[in-house]
Amino acid sequence: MTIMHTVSESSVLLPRTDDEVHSMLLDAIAGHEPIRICGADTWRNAGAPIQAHHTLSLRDLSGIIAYVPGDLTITARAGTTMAELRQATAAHDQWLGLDPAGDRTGTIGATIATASSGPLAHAFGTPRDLVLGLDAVTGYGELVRPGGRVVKNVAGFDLVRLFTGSWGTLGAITSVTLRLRATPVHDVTLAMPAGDAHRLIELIPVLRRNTLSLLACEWLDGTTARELGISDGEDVVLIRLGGNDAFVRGQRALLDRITPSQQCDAAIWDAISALDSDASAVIRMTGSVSTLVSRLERLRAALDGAGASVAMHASLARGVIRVIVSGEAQSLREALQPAAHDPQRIPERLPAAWWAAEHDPFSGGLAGRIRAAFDPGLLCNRRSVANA
Amino acid sequence: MQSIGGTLAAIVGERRVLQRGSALVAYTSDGLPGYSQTPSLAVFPGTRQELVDVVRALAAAQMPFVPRGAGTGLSGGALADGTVLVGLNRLTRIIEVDAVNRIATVEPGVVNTSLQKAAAVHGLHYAPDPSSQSACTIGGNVAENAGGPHCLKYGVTLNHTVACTVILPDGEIVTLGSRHGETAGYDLLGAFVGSEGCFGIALDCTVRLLPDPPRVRTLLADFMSLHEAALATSAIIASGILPAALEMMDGAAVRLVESSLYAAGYPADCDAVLLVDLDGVEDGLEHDVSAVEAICRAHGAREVRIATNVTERTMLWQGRKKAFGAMGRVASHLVLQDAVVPRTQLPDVLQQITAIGARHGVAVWNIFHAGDGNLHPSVSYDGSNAEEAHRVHLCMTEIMQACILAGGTITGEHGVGLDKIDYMPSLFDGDTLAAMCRLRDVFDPGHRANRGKVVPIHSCREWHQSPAGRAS
Repeated sequence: MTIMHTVSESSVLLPRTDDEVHSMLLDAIAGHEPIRICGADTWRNAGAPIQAHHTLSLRDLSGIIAYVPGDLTITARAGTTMAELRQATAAHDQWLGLDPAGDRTGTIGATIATASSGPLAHAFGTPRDLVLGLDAVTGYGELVRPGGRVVKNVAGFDLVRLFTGSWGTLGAITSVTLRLRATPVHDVTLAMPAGDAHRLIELIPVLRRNTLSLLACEWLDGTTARELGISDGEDVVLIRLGGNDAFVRGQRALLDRITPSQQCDAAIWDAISALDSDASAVIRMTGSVSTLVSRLERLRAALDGAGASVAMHASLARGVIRVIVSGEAQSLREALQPAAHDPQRIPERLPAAWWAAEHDPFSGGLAGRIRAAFDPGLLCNRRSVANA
Repeated sequence: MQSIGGTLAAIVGERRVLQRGSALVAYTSDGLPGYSQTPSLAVFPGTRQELVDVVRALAAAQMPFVPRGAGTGLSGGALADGTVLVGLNRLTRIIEVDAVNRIATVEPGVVNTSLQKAAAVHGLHYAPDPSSQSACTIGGNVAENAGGPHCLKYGVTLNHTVACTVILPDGEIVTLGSRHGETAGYDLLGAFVGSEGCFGIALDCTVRLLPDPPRVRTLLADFMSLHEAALATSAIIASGILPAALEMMDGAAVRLVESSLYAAGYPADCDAVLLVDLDGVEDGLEHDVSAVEAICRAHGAREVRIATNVTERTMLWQGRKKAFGAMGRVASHLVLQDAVVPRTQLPDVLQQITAIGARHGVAVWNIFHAGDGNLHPSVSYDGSNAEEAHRVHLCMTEIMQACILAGGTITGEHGVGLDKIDYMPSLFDGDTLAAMCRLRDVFDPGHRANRGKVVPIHSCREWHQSPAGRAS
């Protein structure tokens, strides 16, 4: 039986240990059976359609293996949810500086496998900057344990970075070790009017000055901001500040001198993460910060009046625009195609029919050779389109 | 048929190919004097095209080669044993500093401080600051995933490299990463950074620049107990304050520096000093300075000196930055290790290092990045004395094993090279080493780039059959 995305529960494998994952993958390799690897499947419609006989769900491979607050490191099994991690670390006034899209029932394994991040990447970077080590079973049939539990490590070739963002195409990540941060004493979120394009062009360098130290700095389109209750329909810049009392007071005063802002509930960040919950298409478009406003304007013009519901948010320091389409997306397909002014276009989810036209970044050239070296049978998360 | 020397000379000119033994002496070692290997010849391309042509000529001749930046590495990684050495130190062009997007693109031979100077004009800097930054090159930094004192807060080279154009050993040119940040697909750039010259040679590197912090505060705390200084380090990290740098020197190292021309005014009767940089925006910084001072005092600091101006700050750092130079004056040979342990393990591991040194009659100096748990136990010794050299070797081996047992690793910033290759099987199991071998095979199926480094060759040979095949 070959399946695409949706599977019956009977075909879902639910390992509870690394050895079980290993054994299940060895079985798949021995039987030449394509296998779909996932976390809790909360992002079921993300990524390209997969051709598989079975789904290997890591949701039951959960729990914290080691947590040493004094080291600010934590090791957790792949199926541990982001909520569980948040709860465990909060008890020690620590947190993981990762706020990927989706709700918090998503797993850390899937977050790392998809290299997902959110607005906190402004201060803390993306998963490649936060993962210290991991264990994984490769499509070659090995259980590998690269990296470690220390915060600095250059021993050996970097399989940790290779697996991070590999979308399960090299095998299944079974556990990860992550760098943590102390929770700031004060965590303040401000909404600042972004103004028009001209104003935004002026605002970006001001917000990137070295006199400001922000945890997040995210532009949000006016319609979405209104729906989230933080604007009357104007675009906003959401700013997150974290630090001691003097820090927050001083930074707020500095920001108020730029443009008076309103304090919002920190829950707004979870709301932004959940914007894609019923999305039909989500695409990240990366480019230079210096071209961010013009790219935003071009996208707006292209998407305007197409009849679909579109939300957009963008990192003002990283130049990444995330476009989230809800409902019927077909009318926007042309506007969301790669363009010369979008140097990188990363689809997170698309209507199934669109994937056929998408380049498979895990095939061809060096990437294809990597894939073949770690999953010679092309069994793990095999695309039903490109690799069929 | 033309010899490889003749072929390379036709590309770069006769003067840029060294073949005589006397001319090659300078390239027989790197920053770690314990190893010596002589290349068959050394070639020094002066342009990107010459470098491309050289690598392709070596590929056509199926010749192994070793890339080398400034040769300041500390793991024997840039040594060529009877093979071709490709020197990159003439490729010194800063191609672009894009101050608006805060990135710079440079050729691999650009010296770290040259990039710093070019960035400083724009109020920016490149964060990785290895001790050898006045000589080491960005290409070498990328190859080794170099660190430095200020990587505690800002991260290592991996975190600051956004793209590289790379010529693979077979002559293919690929772009890894993107100057615009995120890319879809495998993090091939992440795999390349720190690959120690085994995956190819960077033709250019694009790195991230950071705005200079508006305020920096430097503290020097001295302790009458190394153990208490280590406990203070663990407490600072556990408090959640993230210093830009948190360095430690033990009493012996302090006295060595203070008796040298690099004397920085450290108290020579102490057992350890902590040197702490706190930086960032003005707001709230004094709160962190006070908190760090209080933690140090609570752990027995005798005095906590806080620099009040740039001159004082520079003076406090001088002792730390010149410590290895002071060490080099003591004896003909210096062994400098590079292990990392969990920060909570620092007090115990430092006690073990002291005990191991005493057991072997070896004086071990500790000058290191305490905030990262990145130890650099060091010994000056007379390499011509076989008995002493043997004791030093045993001592260092035991120290490395102690660090591994404490949950640590064998290198935090120097790389594996030749020096630590024998420790790799202690750290990684056979499957993990075999997977590393396969990753190298993707970039360099002929094993011609820096062969014999990083992963023991037997790890590759022993695992011809896949685990799936073994299971069946």
